Amino acid sequence: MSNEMAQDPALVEEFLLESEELLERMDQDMVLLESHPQDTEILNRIFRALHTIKGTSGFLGYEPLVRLSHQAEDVLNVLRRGEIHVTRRITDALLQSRDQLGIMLNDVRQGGLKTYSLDALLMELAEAQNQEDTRNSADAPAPKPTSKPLRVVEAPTPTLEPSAATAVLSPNDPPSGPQGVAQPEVAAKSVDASAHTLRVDVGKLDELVNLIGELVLERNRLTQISRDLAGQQEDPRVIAEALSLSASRLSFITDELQTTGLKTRMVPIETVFRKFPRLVRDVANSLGKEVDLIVRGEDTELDKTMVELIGDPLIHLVRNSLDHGLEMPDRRAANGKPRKGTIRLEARQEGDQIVISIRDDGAGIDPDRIVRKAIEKGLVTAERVRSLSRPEILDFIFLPGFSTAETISNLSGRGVGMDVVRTNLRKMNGTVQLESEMGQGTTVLLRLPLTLAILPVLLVRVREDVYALPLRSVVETARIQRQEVHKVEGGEILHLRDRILPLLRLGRIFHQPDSSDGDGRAVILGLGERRVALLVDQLLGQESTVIKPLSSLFHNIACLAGATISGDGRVRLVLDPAGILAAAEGSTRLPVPRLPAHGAHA
Amino acid sequence: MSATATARVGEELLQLVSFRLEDEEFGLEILRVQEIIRIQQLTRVPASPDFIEGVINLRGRIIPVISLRRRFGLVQGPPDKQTRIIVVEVNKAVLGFMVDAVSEVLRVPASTVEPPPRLGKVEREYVRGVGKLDNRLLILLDIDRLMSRAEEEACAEVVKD
Repeated sequence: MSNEMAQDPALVEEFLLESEELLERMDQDMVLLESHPQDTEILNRIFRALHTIKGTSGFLGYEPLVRLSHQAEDVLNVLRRGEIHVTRRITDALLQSRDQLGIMLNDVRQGGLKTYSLDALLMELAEAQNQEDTRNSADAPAPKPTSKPLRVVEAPTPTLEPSAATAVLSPNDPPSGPQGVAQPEVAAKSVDASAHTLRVDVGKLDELVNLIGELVLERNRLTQISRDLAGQQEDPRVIAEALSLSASRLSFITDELQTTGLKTRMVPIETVFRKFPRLVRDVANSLGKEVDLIVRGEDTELDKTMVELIGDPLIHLVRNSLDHGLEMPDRRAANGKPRKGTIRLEARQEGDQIVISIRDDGAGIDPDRIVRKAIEKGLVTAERVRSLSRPEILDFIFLPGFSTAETISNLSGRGVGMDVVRTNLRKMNGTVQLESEMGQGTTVLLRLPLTLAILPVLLVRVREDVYALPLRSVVETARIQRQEVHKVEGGEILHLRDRILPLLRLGRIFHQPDSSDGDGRAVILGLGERRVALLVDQLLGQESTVIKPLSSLFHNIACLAGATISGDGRVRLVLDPAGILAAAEGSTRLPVPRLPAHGAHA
Repeated sequence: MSATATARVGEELLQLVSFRLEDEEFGLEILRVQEIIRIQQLTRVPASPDFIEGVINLRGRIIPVISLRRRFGLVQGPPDKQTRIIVVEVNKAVLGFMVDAVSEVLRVPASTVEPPPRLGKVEREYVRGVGKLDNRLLILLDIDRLMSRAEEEACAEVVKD
């Protein structure tokens, strides 16, 4: 039932952004509350969040939001006055309320509030206060959810599973598949909708305005120089000097402008990380596992676009840990591990890269299982496998369709695989790596460039065309001779020192005549453990340049990452090392072996 | 000087940029046209769909250049002094159409525009109508439809190595 007057859209947008953020913080606070039930600071924060949402909702006439937040706020009030203790039932009811508020906010964003039957939830919020439950939050996790949703008419049970009860409440709930998981997803989506604004530190903006001021001054100087030149009264050498000085000042100012401008797009990764306490709590509960989530480095800053793109891969990886990595508490205890598993989510800056790591102390990945699966899928032969290193074996996980989960669980085996994670990372010019120790745990390392836009590249010439290769992926370059290149089944390889690498000529991918068959240069590109040699005619040097995306018309072309504008104004295409690697491996049909199994000569 | 057909007072006039492909004359609403530029340094994009000539640098933006001739099944030769690129915005993307020549801005009464008859080389679905001006026929292009189709085809193309 919506009683909203025609609203100023800017006002509504601001309300939505603010409220969604408050709810996200509430997620974190609720999880904190479970382990610190007496902390009045947390209780006050949650109270204030609900109070604010209630107030603005009232002002905008969003009745259902007012009713629900009011009732929830009541519970917080009683809690912070110390009249009752935090119980499992209370936190569940509050989290349900938070989810319901999220759904309602999302509806406002999509067009308008709908009708909601809130009675059950409101009643639960009231009842939870009155009953002195013998359970408290330090107790064992809730029993597994039942398969059918609870009906309102039944007597309230001691614990209500979040998803089960909500299935009754809101007609516009997504069909809840895996219980306990449907909700966090909805909550996550309603926040991602607000992708077009961001908060910027005023200091950064001041810097920007300053630089623009400098730019204006320089512009004035140039105008003057131009006039002097036209007036023909000044000595040309004096003008030349003034021009030169101006050019170099301009160069400095634009560099600073570029850096500062890009800096304003940086947001702390906290905006992504804060979803996880709640996610881990809910998923762990539904799996019957006990998990501790440790988050570090939340104030590490990333470009806003990257923050948006990294969310899904991170969720997938964390779910992987929860689902496949961490063992059930009993099994852990039997193996001498603490019942509670730990997932450590950390972000830090290393030079010009951001490194995000997800580490669990679970069962680790069994390399033998991977090898078996790889042989089964025909990706490698049994002999070749013997010469593969452990990291190379683990790398198989990133191939499409490679899920070693015996049963495709609802949580992570949905056809969203590690290959998608790698693809997403590649879109950001990043990489992903796996390390694992059986019985001890698994670590996934994501590496991202500090900014999306500026890219140091290596320029190369193939016939008459000049291409750019991201320098980060260039391992080395080598002058090679015709004799070092050998033909194998369906492709070519390069014998470089003690390594055999697949070799690719750009002409082959681009359906053009190959470059000269004589001697040339090979650029060795590396991705994780894999290597590929790209044959070029000439190396033209390095450059730091701004990469721009190509129109979607070109998205199907493998091996192109984007384009850049060179100093002379021409467009240069930027090649995609991962695409080149895939093309090379596709044509030579071998994952990179380390040593020749037998003689390498064809 | 632009040509204008005699129109009754108060009648709607379409303002069109007219251009030539082979021996056909086409019209594009002037409001859709961002600018018209001469051919400049074009960078070819290998393995791209055949109707894409390449990309150019338009004041820092990299935009694709579509050969309308190729799109309509004609051969595209090297550009000459009259070749132009008409820069438009279609489906939120900026791109350029390479044409043989651009003539003038024409004002055509909306009433003279008829639905497309059977046309020779041009796909009927890209044509919004045919306008008449004196004894000239102007084919009015539906560039949105044209580009939607092109996009679909570009996505469907699988580029093998």
